[in-house]
Amino acid sequence: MRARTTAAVVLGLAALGAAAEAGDVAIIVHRNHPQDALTMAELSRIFRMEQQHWKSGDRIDVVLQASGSEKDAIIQNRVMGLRAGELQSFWLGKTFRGEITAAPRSLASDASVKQVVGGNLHAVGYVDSLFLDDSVKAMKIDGKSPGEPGYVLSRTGGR
Amino acid sequence: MPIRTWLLIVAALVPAAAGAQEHDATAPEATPPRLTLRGFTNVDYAIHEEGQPNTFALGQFDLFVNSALSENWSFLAEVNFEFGDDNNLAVDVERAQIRYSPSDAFSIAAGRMHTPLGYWNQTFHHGAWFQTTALRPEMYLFEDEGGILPVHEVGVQAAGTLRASALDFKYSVSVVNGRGRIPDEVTNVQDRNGSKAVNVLLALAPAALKGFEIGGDVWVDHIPADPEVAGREAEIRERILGGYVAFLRSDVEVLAELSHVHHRDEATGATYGTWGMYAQGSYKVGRWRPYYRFDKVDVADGDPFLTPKDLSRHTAGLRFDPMPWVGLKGEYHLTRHPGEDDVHSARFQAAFTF
Repeated sequence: MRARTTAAVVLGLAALGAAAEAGDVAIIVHRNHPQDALTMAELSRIFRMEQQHWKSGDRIDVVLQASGSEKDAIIQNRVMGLRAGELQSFWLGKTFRGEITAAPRSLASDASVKQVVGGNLHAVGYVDSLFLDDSVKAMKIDGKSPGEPGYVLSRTGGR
Repeated sequence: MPIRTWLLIVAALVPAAAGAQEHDATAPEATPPRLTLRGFTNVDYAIHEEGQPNTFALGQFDLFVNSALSENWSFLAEVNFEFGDDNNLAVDVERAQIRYSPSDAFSIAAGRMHTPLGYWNQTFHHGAWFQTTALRPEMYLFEDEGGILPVHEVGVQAAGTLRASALDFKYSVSVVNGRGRIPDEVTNVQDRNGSKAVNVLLALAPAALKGFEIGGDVWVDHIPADPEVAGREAEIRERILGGYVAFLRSDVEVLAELSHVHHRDEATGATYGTWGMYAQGSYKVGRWRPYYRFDKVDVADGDPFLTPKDLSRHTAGLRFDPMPWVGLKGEYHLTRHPGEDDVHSARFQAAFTF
């Protein structure tokens, strides 16, 4: 009986975990950020740190995640055009060429990213769209918001 | 009148400086910059290169440091410990530059930098780990290795990227000390003549073809006379024209560059044209990356400045990365010098960062 209960708890937790990771990847900025939308090309340049300033002229503070989740893979692959295992050498190359002084910080969870981005007008990061709330603003990418059909950073592959 | 103008300028600036000091006194104390240190080196085994006995060889021991001084100011340097063919150690400060980057469209750097002559020289520096191949292209050999191009520059360099929806437009403009009296001399602390060299690089990267870039550059300089060498009593006018295409994705690398070095002896009016080119391709399959490169250098006969060297070389190799920070490379070379027998050689390299 005890084993059955434990199994049920484990299965329940696994289901909760799956549900918690079921949304699209939302690109978030501070809720008072002047921009509401980016193109996929702009997003790629920002996360690759080829574009380091917002249109306002302020320096962009890119916040990544190192949670090892599907979200990270979507950002690295679809947005940055990198394969698994190439991220750190990518940053090292940019540092060596003098294009950046350091790799962007990587935080461990959606909650941490949301907290940092919510407190920094110039930051941009990504979280699971199920974690969105009023503390941050989700950017439209190529005219579409997370959850809309055809959103490029959906779990199911976008376009 | 000029003195009065200067006095007016100084009078205008002094209150501003005093105001700034006053403001600084109340500002919170700034945190000192943090230095990041990283190393690159390689260990090679060369078989029958340049007719030499087979040999193990230590590569350049490269210490890279950088530091963000503030949001827009940064510093980087490369200090290189290298052994020459005589087995003696030499230490070079290969790069040392302070950069101010207020926007994507404009940044300005001062110090010793790699001249943006084309793609390779602004992308790969002294760490062999970064580059696919074991060796640099012949046209981009360093000055102290017999290279034909001024790959290092000392001066100021402005650069930036202007963006439109369809393409990125990249530029770089350098005003620097020119060449020294011999190709190996980089004028780090004393230019040998008053004229400065100018280098301009322009490049386009279309949005529709991610990873593709095409660019060209022009370098102009007056190479100083070298009175101690017969035939070098007068300056030489130098003009270098270069062009490149690059296509880079995670798995694909295609690079091709061409450079023409034009020299005009100011005493005789004689002109000399030297060519250098390479084309390189590679394709990554998992941790493996097979590659091929063709190099060609053709130094003009009688050029009063460059060391005579004509060669073409085929390089075929394979790179294996057992882990992200180590690259193992093995490559075969077929080198042809005009009028001489073909030279078959090979090189194995373990290049890494630490």
